[in-house]
Parts: sequence; structure tokens; C-alpha cells
Amino acid sequence: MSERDELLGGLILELRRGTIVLSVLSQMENPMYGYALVQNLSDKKITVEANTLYPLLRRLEKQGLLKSEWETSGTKPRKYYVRTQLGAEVYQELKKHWENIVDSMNKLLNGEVEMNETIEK
Amino acid sequence: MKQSKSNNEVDKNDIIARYVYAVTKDLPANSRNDIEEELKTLIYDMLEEHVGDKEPAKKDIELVLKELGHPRELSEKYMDHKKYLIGPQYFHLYIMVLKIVIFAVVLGMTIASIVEGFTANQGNPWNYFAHWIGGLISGISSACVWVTFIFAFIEYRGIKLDEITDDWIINELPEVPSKKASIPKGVPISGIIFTIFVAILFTFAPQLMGVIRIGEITTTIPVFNLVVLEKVLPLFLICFGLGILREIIKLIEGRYTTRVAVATISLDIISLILTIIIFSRHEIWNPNFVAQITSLYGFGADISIQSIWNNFTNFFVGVFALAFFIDSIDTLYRSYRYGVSK
Repeated sequence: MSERDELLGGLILELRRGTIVLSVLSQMENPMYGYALVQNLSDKKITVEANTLYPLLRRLEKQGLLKSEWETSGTKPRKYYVRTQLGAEVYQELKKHWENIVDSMNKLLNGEVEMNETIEK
Repeated sequence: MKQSKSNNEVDKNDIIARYVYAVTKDLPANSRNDIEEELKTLIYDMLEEHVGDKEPAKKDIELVLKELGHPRELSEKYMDHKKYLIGPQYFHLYIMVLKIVIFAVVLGMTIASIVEGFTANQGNPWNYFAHWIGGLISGISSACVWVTFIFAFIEYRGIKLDEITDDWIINELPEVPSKKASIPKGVPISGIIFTIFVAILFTFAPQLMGVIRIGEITTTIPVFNLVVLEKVLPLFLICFGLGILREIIKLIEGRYTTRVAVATISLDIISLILTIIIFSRHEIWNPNFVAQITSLYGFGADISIQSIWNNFTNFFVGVFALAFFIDSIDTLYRSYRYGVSK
């Protein structure tokens, strides 16, 4: 991997890292187990690896945003996570913040394009 | 045929079991079981995704486990915070203190050995060399152990040596200190070196503190009663330890602040009290000092030497107290005048 690729890879990872919690919370309105969430997100083009997601789910539970329950009825015992009341509230707040950020970022990034165009003229 | 298949089965389950164990073995006990179960289910889920309905082969399992990553890395993700013996915050200070202490020990040991070599009458010089090397090794080892232990303790308890909190306010930043307020690094460093040197002297060569006459037969007349000195040595070492602590505080702060003043004065007071306790008992002084001096130098039993000696021992504590007093006043003055309130 060239140095540039490595640098870019790291920056992209950091960019993605900031969005993981929000993406997870957005899918947890109904109970879901870890691996299903991995596949769910990956279908929507948000790749979060299992070895990141599982510890994250545990942490979110510790913070009171999710709660968990073991389902032993099926062929395999599975741990299901779901949003708590607090999780739902926090999710709504985060969502608003995200939309504001997207708005500002778009202005920022598009603004640069406009400036370049005026310079070229 | 059946035999080898069941061996294979055991193998596969064993690999998974080993992996899960490696991930969970250092995790806190209360969540370990839960994480184990969750991981196992995850691994089987991932296997199912890879091979579908058919029986997963060993290489499939290895693939999935590789995808999950090194067990240690996964384990760290489950842990709340990274564990360090000595954290990044104070590591540089640790190294600095370690260097100072080792340097002081080497210097002290070497000088003590040299002086001892000169003042001893007989003996194979190689003995002294071996003694010196042995002393160096054990001294340096002990020093390293203690410094490391202290800093590891600081890390373990999360003790903050300076206050860096998230809610710092601009107005609370100290004003830029004047040059006079800063404590040049050399001062506390030389203080620490000197103190360690004295500590080594007291511990290993107390007999050297006194009158040394170098001649055909080199004689030393110690100022202290060596037997009693040995008994009160721990108190001395505590005093020296406090002295070193005081200098370390000066080193960390870098300039005269209220905190430096407070620490200096309180440590000085404790040292002073210990010193008074040690020296209030007259037995610490060598009872035969005057006799030995007069016989060595061939004076007649001169009263004046006796009285000088008596006065010296009596006023010793007074002189000590005065030195502490002056030091405290000086530190206080500098902190007030040039210093920074913190």
C-alpha cells in the first residue's frame, strides 16, 4: 500500500468512525441481534465490521442507550439489542445535529467549487 | 473413517473455543460469560454466511476467525480503556526521574567506594572493584524498582500530578512568570543527586563521616555512634526521601508557585521534626569522639575540644532548624514576590 493510500485510508476511516453510533442507533428501533445489524448496515452500504460493532453495542448498552435480551427459543441462542427510551431521545437529537452538519458541510464544500469557478473565469 | 471425522470435529470446535478463550480471558469476570456466548454465536453466524447449509471446513473457520481479527485486538476493543503500566502522560517524567536517580546512585556509590578504598588499610584491590560493581548493580536495580513502582502506582490510581481538566478557563491560566520565578532545572536535579549521595553515604559508609587522617595507617573517627545510627537509619532515609520529593515537586512545577511553597514548607517541617527526634537523643553521637581525637593527634585532654564538641552536638539541631527556616522563608518569599498563584 502506497503512503498516499495509507494516509487516505486512515482519513476515510476517521470520517466513517464518527457516523457509526448514529447509524447503529437509527436501526435499533426494533430488536435486532448483532450479526443481523452488520448485514443490515452493509446492505445499506455502511460497512461496519463485526469486531467493531459488537463491542460498540455493548458500550451503548452500558451508556443506557440500548438494552439487551438473550433469545434462547431458536436453534441458536441470540442476544437481541433494542433502543431504550433514552436511546430514542438521544437518537433524535443526534439526527438533528447530523442534519445541521450535513447542511453546513454542503455549503462549505460547494462554496469552494463556486470560488474555483470564479477564479477560473 | 468415523474415527478421523470425529477428531476433525473436535479440532474445529477446539479452534473456536481457543479463539474465544483468547479474547475473553483478560476481560472482567462479570461480562466474560456473556461475551463468550455472543462471540460463539457470531462465529457460527459468520460461518453460516460463508458456507451456507453445508458443514464448515477447518479453512472456513480459519477464514472467519481471521476476519474477526487477532484475539488480543478484539479483546482490547471490549475493554473500557487501554491499560498501561506507566501512561503516556507521565512517561517522560518517569524517564527523567529514572535518569537522575540512576546517575546519582552511580555517582554516590562510586565516590563511596573510592573513599573506602583509600581509607582501608589492607585488602585486595580487586575486592573493592567487585564491591563497587556489586554495589552499582544492586543500587541501580533498587532505584529502578522503586521509581517504577511509584509511577506505576500513580498510573493505577489515576493520580494527576498537574491538573488538566476539560473545563479549563482562560482566566485561570497563570500569568507568564518572570524569569526570577522560574526554577532552573539544575537546582532540583543537583538537589536530588546530592541527597541521594548523602543517603548512600549514611547507609553504606557512615564511618566516613568524621575525621579522616590519611597516613601509614589511615584512621577514621566517625562523628556518629555507628550502632545507634544503624537503628535510626530508617528515619534518616525518610528524611532524605522527603527531601527528594520536595525537589521533584520543584522539578514538575518548574517555577515558584504557591503549591511549591506549601509543599516545601510542609516537607521541611516534617523533616525538621524527624531530625529533632533523631538528634535529641545524645546517643547518636560517637561517645568516644573526643577521646579518639585527642589520642590520635596527641593533644593533652583539652577541655576546649570537649566543650567545642558538646556545643556542636547541642547546637546541631539548632543549626538544622535554622537552615530549614531560611529555606522556607526563601521559598515563600520567591513564591510571593515572583510567583504564580496556583
